[in-house]
Formats: sequence, structure tokens, C-alpha cells
Amino acid sequence: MTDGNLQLDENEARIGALLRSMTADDLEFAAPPDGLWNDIEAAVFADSPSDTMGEESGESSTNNVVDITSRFRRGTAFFAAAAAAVVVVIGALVVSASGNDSPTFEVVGDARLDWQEGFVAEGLTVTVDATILDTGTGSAQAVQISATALPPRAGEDLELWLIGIDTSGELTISTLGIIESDAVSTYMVPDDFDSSAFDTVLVDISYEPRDGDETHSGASIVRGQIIGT
Amino acid sequence: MTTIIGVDDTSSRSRYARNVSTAEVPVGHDVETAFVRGDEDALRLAYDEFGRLVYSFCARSLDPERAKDVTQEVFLSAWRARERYNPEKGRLGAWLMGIARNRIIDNVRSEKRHSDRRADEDTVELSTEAEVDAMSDKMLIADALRELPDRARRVITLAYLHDLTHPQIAERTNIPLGTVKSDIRRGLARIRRHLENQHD
Repeated sequence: MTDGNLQLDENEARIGALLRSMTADDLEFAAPPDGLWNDIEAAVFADSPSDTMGEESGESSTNNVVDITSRFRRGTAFFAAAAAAVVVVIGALVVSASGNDSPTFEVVGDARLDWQEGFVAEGLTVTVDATILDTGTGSAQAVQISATALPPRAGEDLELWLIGIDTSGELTISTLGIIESDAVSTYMVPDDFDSSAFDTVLVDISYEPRDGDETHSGASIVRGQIIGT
Repeated sequence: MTTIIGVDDTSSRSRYARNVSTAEVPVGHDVETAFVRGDEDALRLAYDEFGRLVYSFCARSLDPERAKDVTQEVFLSAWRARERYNPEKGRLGAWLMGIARNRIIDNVRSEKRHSDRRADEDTVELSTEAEVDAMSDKMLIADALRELPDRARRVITLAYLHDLTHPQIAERTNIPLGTVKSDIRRGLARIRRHLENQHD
């Protein structure tokens, strides 16, 4: 197969080529012989018997929970912005995901994503339609987005997010993945994002630099509130 | 660049809580932090996490006895040189494999010199290095695959090891095509980071 339009960089394409050359045997590792750790430990002890393995600094371990203010500007009235999104409600009906990949999913909600004041891509007039789908497998949902025609930025990806806001104003931000700008596509909602647990759920698309940081960059382009779930 | 998600200044409880399954959180960073700090159990943690990887790498290039010795040397020299390890320059596994790579090449060269003194040494060394480097990359890729979330690992395995097209994968797994492509894109990016080693 080819890598299609995944826009891989040179290193990722090389990894793809190596992956293609791999067999099941390449995935299996051999266990080190018994006693190897004891030999290593003994050698380390011989190095420094009074302080075998160095000192602890007492530094706290890394914390996966990042304060919202470290990534997003405080004080913006996002509720007002969300409310500005045009509301489209579609009742429960069964559709076949149009022009696309997906199995038949039931539509359970909708959102219209618009550029909003303070977003990047100043003055963008593109509107993206998002349809919330029940996949029929447990509580799993998916989001289908229309061909976005969002302007690409060199070296960056477009990423689709759900932002849940609970009664206390707490935010939960969950990625649905990197998206293409030119196709109707469907993306699974992570199993642990329960839309029903939030007062408000927003659909958001952002630019994300390929820097290894998988948290939201803060560079949103369009956003809209889900209605109907 | 401006941002949008805001919270009232009074809402001190608000925070960024990225809601991903634990399977998606990259593992291995705890051992790297412990290693940099020189924590008492850091070498043991590193051995538990990367012992199979390093030993298997050695065992594919060297005889069993030498593979065991070289694995021990790799962990010992890594521990002695731990202040030179910088997590920003690469994952601990890639750094250990870099150390192992140099030791393996030294051993293979030495073996070849003893077994065939008439061989063109430059040619031998070039092919040895290329083979060992490719083996190291493949093993780090295999190791990275283990760390991927189940769905991404499955999709990448079907795409590359089983040579299925993206639509074929979507059909077989009942995962939307958009998610298939996204999982591959993000999965390859994660594997790339797993291989990065910018240490001298």
C-alpha cells in the first residue's frame, strides 16, 4: 500500500519503509539470561559501595494534569462564543455516512463550527459542519465533519477536538485525531469521553505544530457547540 | 497567537485535564526522570523496561555469551554516564540502543578481523554499520509499537506488516477511515520520536 496523502515527513516515510520490511519475528524480543541483572547490580555496587545507585533529589514527579492557563489565555468568554454558533438540531435518524468510509451510524447531534474572534486565521469565513454519530457499539460515538477547506499551514496539522464543560466550569479536552482538510471524514470519540457528563460540549479544530506536544496548541481555527446529544 | 478557551479568573478550579485513556499516555517517562535524577531504583527500572530490547539487539548480532557481556556493559556504562543523558535529546531506550550499537560494532569488527584478515576492512565495516543501524531501528520500532494504544498498533500493523489499504483497514476493523488515517499519522510520529537520539 502507499502512504496516500498522509503527508509524512522523510523520517516517518523511512519508518514506514522499515515497517514494511519487518516480519512477526522482528516483533519478538528474547528475555535476558537469568542472573544478568545480578551481575549488573554487583558491578554497580563495586563502583560505589557506599552509594550504590546515586541520590534522590526529592524533586516531584511529572504531572500529567496541565493547568489550563498554561495553554490557554484566561478570561475569554468562550460561552458567548459558543452560543454564537448557529444551532442545528437533527433528530434521531439513520443515515449512511455520505461519500465516505463509515458504517451506518445514527445521527444524535450536530454542531456548526465557525471562526470566532480571537482565533487564528483572522477573518476566516469557512464553516465546518460536524455531525455526532452513535456507532451502535456500546456508548461509542463518532464525529463526522464536512470537507473543511481550512487553509493549511506548512509543517502543521489540523486536529479535531471535543471540549466538555461541566457544571463547575471544569474543562475536559479530548483529541479525535489529525484530520484532512479536503474530505468528509469520520473520527471515533475516545471511549472515556462521555458527552452526557458535560453541560456543554464543543467541537474544535486547531493547528498543531509537529513538535511532539500532543496537547491543544491553543491555535483554534473554528469551533461550535454540539446540539442534540 | 491568541487563544480562546478561557476561564473566568475566579474559576480557579478550571484546569486542562486532557481526557485520554491511560493506554494513550506515553509510558517510559517515569524511568527517564528517575534515571536523570540518579534515583536508587532507576537502573533497575531501566533494565526492567529496556533489558529485553538491549539484550535482543546484542543477541541478534553476537554469540550468546558475548551478548550477555555486552548487555551488562551497556547498562553499566549508561549508569556511569547518566549525567550525559538528556531526555530532550531522545528517549532512554534510543540512548541505550545507541550505546549498544557502538559496542556491537566494535565486537563484530573485532570478530571479523580475527576470522578474515584478508577482507577489505572498509567494506566490511560499512556493511556492518548499516546492518546494525537498520537492526537497531527495527527493534526500536517494534518497541515503539508496544507503547502505542491498542487501536493504533492494530491499524499500523495491518497497514504496514499486512499491506492493507486504508479503506480495507476501515472495512475490516469497523473503524472510520478518518480515524484509521489519523491513527497511522500520529502513530508514525510517535514511533519517530521513539527513535530519535540526538546525543553525541
